[in-house]
Amino acid sequence: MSQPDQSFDFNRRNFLKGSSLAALMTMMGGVELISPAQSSDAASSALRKPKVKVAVIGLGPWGREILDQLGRLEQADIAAICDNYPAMLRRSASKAPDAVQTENYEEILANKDIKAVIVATGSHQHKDIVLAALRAGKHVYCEAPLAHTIEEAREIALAAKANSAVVFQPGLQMRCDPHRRFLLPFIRSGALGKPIMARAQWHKKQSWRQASPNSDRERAVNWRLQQNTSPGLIGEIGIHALDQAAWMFNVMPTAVTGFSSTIVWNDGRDVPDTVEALLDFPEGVRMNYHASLGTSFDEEYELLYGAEATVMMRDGKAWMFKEVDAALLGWEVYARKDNFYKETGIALVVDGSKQRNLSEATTDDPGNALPQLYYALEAFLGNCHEISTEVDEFRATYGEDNEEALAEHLAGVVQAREAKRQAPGYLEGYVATALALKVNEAVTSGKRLELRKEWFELT
Amino acid sequence: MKTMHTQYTNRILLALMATGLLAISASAQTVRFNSQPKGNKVVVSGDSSIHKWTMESGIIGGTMEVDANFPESALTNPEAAKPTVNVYVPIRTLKSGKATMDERMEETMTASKFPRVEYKLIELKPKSKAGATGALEFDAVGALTIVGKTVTNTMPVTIEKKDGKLKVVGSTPIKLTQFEIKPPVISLPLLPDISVYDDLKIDFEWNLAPRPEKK
Repeated sequence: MSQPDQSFDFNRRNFLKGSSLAALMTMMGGVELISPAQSSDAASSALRKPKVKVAVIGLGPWGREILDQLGRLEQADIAAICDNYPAMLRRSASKAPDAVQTENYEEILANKDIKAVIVATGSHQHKDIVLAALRAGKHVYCEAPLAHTIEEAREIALAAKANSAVVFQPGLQMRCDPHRRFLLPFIRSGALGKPIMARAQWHKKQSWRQASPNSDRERAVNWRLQQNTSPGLIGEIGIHALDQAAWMFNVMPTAVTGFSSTIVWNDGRDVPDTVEALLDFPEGVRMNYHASLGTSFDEEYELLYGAEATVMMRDGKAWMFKEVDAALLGWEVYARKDNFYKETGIALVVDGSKQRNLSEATTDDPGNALPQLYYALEAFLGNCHEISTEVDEFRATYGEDNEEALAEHLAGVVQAREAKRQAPGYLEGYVATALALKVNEAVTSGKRLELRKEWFELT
Repeated sequence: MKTMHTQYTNRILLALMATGLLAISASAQTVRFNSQPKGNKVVVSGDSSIHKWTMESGIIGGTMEVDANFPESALTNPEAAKPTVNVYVPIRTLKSGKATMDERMEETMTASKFPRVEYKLIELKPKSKAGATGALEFDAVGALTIVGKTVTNTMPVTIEKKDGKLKVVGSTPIKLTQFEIKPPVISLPLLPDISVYDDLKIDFEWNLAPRPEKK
């Protein structure tokens, strides 16, 4: 990182090295292809961020990861942590040393100082906590999937819809990733040509089974391994890739055929350890998704194939692979390129200029890229502050008995906010959950399922 | 006969006096209008070394205490042209559509210390002719307070009463330096500084209705 006092001591090479591809492309009269948020982030780094008192409910591995990311966010004032298993509270204590510890989430909801809660319990436990939190007027970040049944997901989404005075954000963190948001209009504009197909995978060799001191705890902590509490690999993991494909293609799939097996972890679980789903999109486009706990080879990535080019999203980055007969885009001459076996990928990533690559070993290392969860939580806390401010000011100005006018006012604020701190809401959370649960149904039954439009409508 | 005539005259005089008193009473009766939660808008627009910008809020608070025939009465009656008007806009509700700009504005305006832009009317100077109806034109002279610094401001406004409700529309240029605010300069790594220019414009539409009777 450059020191501030050295910022005026640079030559042309350094300028090109440090500047964004956008600036370079603008100079060359080309196409801007970096996230503009990067420059504003740099400008805002010196500003003091308003703090939001937040609590985390559910302190399993993901809950602790949430605490880690909150710890990096200036806006986060972690006021309380909650888990009904005391050992988890003790284990998380060092990540939030000033937070109140409680085994009862209702204590958090009763605390008027706490403005926001993050629900990271098992999916089957979300509903009661989220509905109570919304009733208590808390902003809610609910991990994805929203629930393990469509009925419960719908109940959550409808409650969030009815409560416009609070922020509801589902844990679809990929939608908050600035790189993905930068990529979205690029893909939707047809830069890949006619869509051909999509492919995504998630491979990790791990059992998903957690050690436990007794049988009661064993059942509680390993909720992911039983179908009556868990939507399995598709619901817990695949939901993100499926949601991304539908988001990028801007269309929902119409049918799904699924397969599943338990090959490696035959330990009494009834959730398969290997799944595969073939989703039909309109106009003959299909997506193949597979996930496995039996192999870690090639880990995880997503591919969107088009007649002109293919995009690969991996490790918080993206690359474009052009077809030989595709038209040359002016900017790509200057873009950074990385080799993948016999292919050359054009980096679609911030700071991905050719000039930067000349002097730095960029390789595939994600470097200092922040995790998607960080961006999701940053957006959530920013939105919590903004909506709380609007609600407080509105009520202070017009009184407490103008809730209809407040809802109308907030609708305008939310519309402006969506263009700003872009984050998904209850509808995106519901649709992604419904899709994942239906795909899981096809996968576990081994059948083809026509995906009816009404399943994705929030009524 | 003379007595009857005198009695008749006295009755007429009494009736006229009563009517006059009622009229005076009606015009002197003060009505308090409160800001309405719908339809308000304030837009602050400005320029910078890279682009023009705007910030908007839908929240305008405040009250107007006027006589029952306002705003028509303010065209002819100097007292009616001095209603009690207090207005404010919460700084934190001004939004640009860009989070960074909003945060910087709040910092520049020291919103934590001075959370509101405030305005107090001194008098209305009529521009519409007596007897005019609809949206009546005035020059509003008032005290505009930003970041604790008060400046006398004159701006053109229109005031319209319709269905018992008031709508005030106005616009005024201001300078940041009038309020001892240094126009911010934003430094970006490896890019030229961005300077916000001194001249701003405030446009607003403010809707008020009579204060409802307490139930």
